[in-house]
Amino acid sequence: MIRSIRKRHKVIWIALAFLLPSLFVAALALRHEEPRNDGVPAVASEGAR
Amino acid sequence: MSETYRAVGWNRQKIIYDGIMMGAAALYLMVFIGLGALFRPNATAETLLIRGFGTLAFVMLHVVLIIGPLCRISPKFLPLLYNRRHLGVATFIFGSAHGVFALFQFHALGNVNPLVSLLISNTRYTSIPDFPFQVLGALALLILFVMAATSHDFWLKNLTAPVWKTIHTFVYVAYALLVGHVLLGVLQAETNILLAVALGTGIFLVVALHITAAFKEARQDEESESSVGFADICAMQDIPENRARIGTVSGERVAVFRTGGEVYAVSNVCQHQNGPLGEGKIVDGCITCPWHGFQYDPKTGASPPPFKEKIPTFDVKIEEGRVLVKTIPNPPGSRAGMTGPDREMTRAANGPNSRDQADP
Repeated sequence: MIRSIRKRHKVIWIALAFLLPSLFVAALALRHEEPRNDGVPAVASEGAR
Repeated sequence: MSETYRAVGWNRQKIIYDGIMMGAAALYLMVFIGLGALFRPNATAETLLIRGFGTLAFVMLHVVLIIGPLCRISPKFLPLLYNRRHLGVATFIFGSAHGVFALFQFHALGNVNPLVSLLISNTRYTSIPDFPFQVLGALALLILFVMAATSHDFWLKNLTAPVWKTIHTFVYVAYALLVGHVLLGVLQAETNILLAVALGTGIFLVVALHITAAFKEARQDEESESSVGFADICAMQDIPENRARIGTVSGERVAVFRTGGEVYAVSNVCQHQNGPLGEGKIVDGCITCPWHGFQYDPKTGASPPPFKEKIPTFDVKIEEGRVLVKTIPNPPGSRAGMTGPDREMTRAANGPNSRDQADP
């Protein structure tokens, strides 16, 4: 690899080292229970995500 | 190397590599769908396929991403790098299967174009739990498509290595988008702790390996001591026969090879994919790139006929057992000089060589 590419690679991964864990924590901390309608058969609601 | 587009130049290594890859992928899908049908009897076949292809592509992307830094940390992993592009293209294909099945399953049954439906059916971009995560996956798939479409050596040659590598750097963006796609998608609905642990482990592994490799590389970029136009790279006895030591001269790396009692300095950057020539060795008289086997004459920096790649050479002088390399390179493909009171340069004829000059 040439030096400029190595530098860019380093900057990108330092940024991702902050971004990805922050996203991970935020996404898990802020998730909420999806409302369930027990009257609907499970097969219809499976795979909504 | 010819710029004519041609199909994959299959060889035994590539067949083995792809055979293992496709076998492992098929096994993963069978196990995933089998266990899914066992433990989620209400799940439809479409759902199992969507999730099977999606998780397979995501796992494969992790493998693709960790191969590079692993090879920077230890050359033992170089065999994994050899055919990584096929792994990347397969990742795109499996990711596409996930996307297409999901598009049909969730967006194709209305009176709106499925792609339009994907973009307009949920616009809650300010909500984390309700974020339209599908858009992140679609953007990542678009990046992977561009990468897969330009993965062949034809494009590498015509776009030039720096442009090609810049395009392919976007795989990091695709990875971040896919982490978001998974976190804001399936992990909002699936609360099984094992899924979060698996994703967290994957992120940690990829980030930690890239950061480790980046800092290791940065240490190697420290300039070699230089004076009067020559940089002191190492002691001659420090260079193993038919191997190299790497130094940094004028901001770029130089590979100093020793073969047949002579010392030659060339750019460390292979013209194919910018592989580290100094981590390769002399095979049949030619410097051989450890990544894909591209070869160069150590005396001139030119590939043996019929190949046409050329790398810059550097004049070398030996003083008191130390190897000094001129800080200004010679034009690519031009014969370098070797001077110094310690030794006279001798020449040895080398024959042409073969290499993997192929393809994705």
